Amino acid sequence: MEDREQILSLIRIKDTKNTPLFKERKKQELLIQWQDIEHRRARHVKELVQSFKRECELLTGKVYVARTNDEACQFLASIIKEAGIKQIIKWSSPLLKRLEIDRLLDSLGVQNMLLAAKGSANEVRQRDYTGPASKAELGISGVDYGLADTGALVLRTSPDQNRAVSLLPPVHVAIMESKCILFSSDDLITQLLLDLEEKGNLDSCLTLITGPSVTADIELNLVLGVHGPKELHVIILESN
Amino acid sequence: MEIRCNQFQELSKKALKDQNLQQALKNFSTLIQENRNSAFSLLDNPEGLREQAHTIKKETLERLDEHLEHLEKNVIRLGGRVHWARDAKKARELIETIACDKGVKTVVKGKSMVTEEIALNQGLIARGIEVSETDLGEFIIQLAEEPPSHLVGPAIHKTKGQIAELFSEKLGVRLMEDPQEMTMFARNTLRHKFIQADMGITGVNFAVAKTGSIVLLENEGNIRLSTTLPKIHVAIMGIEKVIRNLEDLNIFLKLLARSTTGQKLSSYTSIITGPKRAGERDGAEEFHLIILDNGRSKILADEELRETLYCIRCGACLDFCPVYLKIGGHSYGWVYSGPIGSILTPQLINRKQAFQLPFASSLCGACAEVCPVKINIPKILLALRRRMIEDPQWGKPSSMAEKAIFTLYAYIMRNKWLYERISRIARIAQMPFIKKGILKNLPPPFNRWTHHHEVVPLEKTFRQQWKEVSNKYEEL
Repeated sequence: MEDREQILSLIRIKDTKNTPLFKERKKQELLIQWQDIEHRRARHVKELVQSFKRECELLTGKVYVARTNDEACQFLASIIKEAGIKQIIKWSSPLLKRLEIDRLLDSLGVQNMLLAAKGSANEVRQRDYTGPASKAELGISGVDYGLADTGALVLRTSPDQNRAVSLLPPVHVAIMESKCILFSSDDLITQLLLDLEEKGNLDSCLTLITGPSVTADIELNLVLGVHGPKELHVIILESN
Repeated sequence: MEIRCNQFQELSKKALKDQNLQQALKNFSTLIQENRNSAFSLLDNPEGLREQAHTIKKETLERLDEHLEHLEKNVIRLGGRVHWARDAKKARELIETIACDKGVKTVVKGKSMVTEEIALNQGLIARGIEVSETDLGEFIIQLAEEPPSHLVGPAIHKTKGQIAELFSEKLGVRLMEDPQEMTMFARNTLRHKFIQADMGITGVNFAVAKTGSIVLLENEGNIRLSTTLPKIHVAIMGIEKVIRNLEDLNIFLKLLARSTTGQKLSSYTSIITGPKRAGERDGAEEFHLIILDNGRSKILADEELRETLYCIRCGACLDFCPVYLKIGGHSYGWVYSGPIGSILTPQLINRKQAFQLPFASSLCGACAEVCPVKINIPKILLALRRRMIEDPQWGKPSSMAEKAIFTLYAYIMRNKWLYERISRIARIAQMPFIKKGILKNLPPPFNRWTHHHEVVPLEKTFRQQWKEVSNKYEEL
């Protein structure tokens, strides 16, 4: 406590009591802005997909554009078959449910290693990280937003969308609807401000992913997959 | 870590003779400068962004107390704990106490300069806790028991041969001198540590007051692992790391990765808001935020030097500094190197120990040109130099003789008649010392110049040259 008071008194260099700390945009203003973003997005969806694809591929990401649900599943199936993958972990987000990925995995004889979260948090943790889930060869996630100007994937965290899926396995497959692609981080920030207005908080963790895990720490040689995935695949499902 | 700033001259002499280091610095700077410049050229209005970032830092620091209280309130509201530390010792004690109270046996760490600054690892290790650096570069230098040599690339001074040697000596594996193979070996070794670890410790790139979030940028994924797998996450930040809101964050996200590596965004940007929520499978259950002063409030109070705190630790000033790119990071004798180290270190540690650092610059201004938050580093270097020669509290005030020489020099420079006479004498007096067009071995005290520099002899006076040129021009 002592340190706190000391530091605060030392850094009080301006007396600005009762003036706002910063300008805040009103909810109404944000909503109008978001509507505008959605309109622009709808008009430019083709360009957004192209730009996202280009940026993501620059970072060694593999991008597949699917016109139908079936096609999206076929892309996923061929990634799994080509690499001979038997064990995966995945999200259980709405899009993945709609695509009936579980059925596809069954038919391919692939096992989902992320078991139902029964038991205490500690037991779940033990199971996930030291147990079978830690041996998964591939992670399948959805995507909450894509950023067209940087090729970034934005992933929220929730009980159905855990962090490990895009992090632990050596291959990450992300499935995204084309309507989720935003122009840039400017649009994302508007959405996050709306989150704040509506939910009072941001998600416990928001992750922006651009490309695979990479290092250049040994003589500037790029090596992929130093800690996270060394391959990133993005399946874009064209929205109707 | 041990402070060796007072050995600046010896350390830099050694660095200049280190062929591996010289080659590494050369390769590094060519690549990084190109990447950074091309990343900035793709921005719509890079100058405008830098201006904005500068203003944000200025305004935030002017009300730093309020923003930190705002941050604290929000972190607590989300279920995190906030601890304040006046100095390095207090910060170490806080983290050691958290670790001991929770029975922590193993810690995984993300790369963080501030943990180097407070010498965190030594304290934890002394309490019997195993600490693993997990950034590949940090992992390498931890094995070598060396400090980082660059803010961003801590092991850029090491060759792959040296690293293979190190792995064999410390880890008992014989690997090919192949970056791919060595990296994969490190991945497997460290993955095991991540799964076992009880606590993850990271720094903070930005702390967003309005949302109570901390933001972490990285390319490897080791920071994500450190914040996702262990039950406890401790994040430590200097007081200057707080920003106001998400709009501010947006500006810095556009600048930081571009300045650091020339990427548009880092591979991973994590915005972490409190501990994991009910029903979530991963993420830390316990989140602690340590807010560290350690000399920063003193810098804040000093208006002339305050800009030092705007730094977002991107490393661009190092990458473009002709001095850093010759002498490397270790010569600066402490955690922070390059131009930012030259202004930050003397203000954070015992000033007299670091008094040589602000003089280790040619004042070329490259650092200020690339700084994403437009810190006027040359101006601060000059301010520090002035204090160091004028104020016994800051450094080594100049001797009477030195003062006398410069007073005389100033007098001569202001007096046309005297200046002309003296320079005429000097032109004649220099003749015996000119060897192959260079002035060599002048008698003391002038040998201080000729010892370190290639000094070009005085030419004809400007007036003479002017007369000759205009005559020639008239003839034409």
